[in-house]
Amino acid sequence: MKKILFVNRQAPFGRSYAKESLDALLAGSAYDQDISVLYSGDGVFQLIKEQQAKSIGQKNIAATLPALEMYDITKIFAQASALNTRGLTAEQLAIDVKLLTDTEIATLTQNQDCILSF
Amino acid sequence: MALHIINRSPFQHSALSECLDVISETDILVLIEDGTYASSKPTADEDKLAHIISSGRAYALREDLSARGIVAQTHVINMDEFVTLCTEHNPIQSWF
Repeated sequence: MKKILFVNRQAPFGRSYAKESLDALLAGSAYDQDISVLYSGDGVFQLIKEQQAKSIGQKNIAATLPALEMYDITKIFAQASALNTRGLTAEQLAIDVKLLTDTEIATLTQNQDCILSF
Repeated sequence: MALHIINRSPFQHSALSECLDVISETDILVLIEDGTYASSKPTADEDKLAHIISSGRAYALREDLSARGIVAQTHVINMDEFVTLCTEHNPIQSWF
């Protein structure tokens, strides 16, 4: 079993990274690997609960996030400093995430076999 | 020890500064494509980057430097050496 970290650093709708990351994540969960997910930088914008992406003809990224648990993806992290910088609090997020300091992110990164960047 | 690859200009993108926020003391940094613009001039992240350069943990790709006319303060490596570094470090994280 490999330790794989999905790193999401892009805001949800400007580009297709967020959707592609979720697709890869859900597909990847079928292979019985040790998966973690990190939202950092602008990636934390993907977590905002009150998304109404219909108004721009897209699907809410945040609506898919609660499904992660059903796929046994439970190690979900967000960069605390990124939330702070963007004026976001944990209450505004669509799912429970564990907030990590930059130092904790460094450790998380080093402990992986593989990193997929989105 | 992780290897971090940056391919964006530090003057237009936050890829480098976000990487510097979470890089470990034993990790190395490889600047490629427009990321090589970080290898000569100090940026907003001058201190952290300068520390990584002075501790010998920063590399820039020769082809990309010469194409852009940049003189690097980092180690300068060719494509083969880049591949070797990739085989010697794990995990590898791309910042773009």
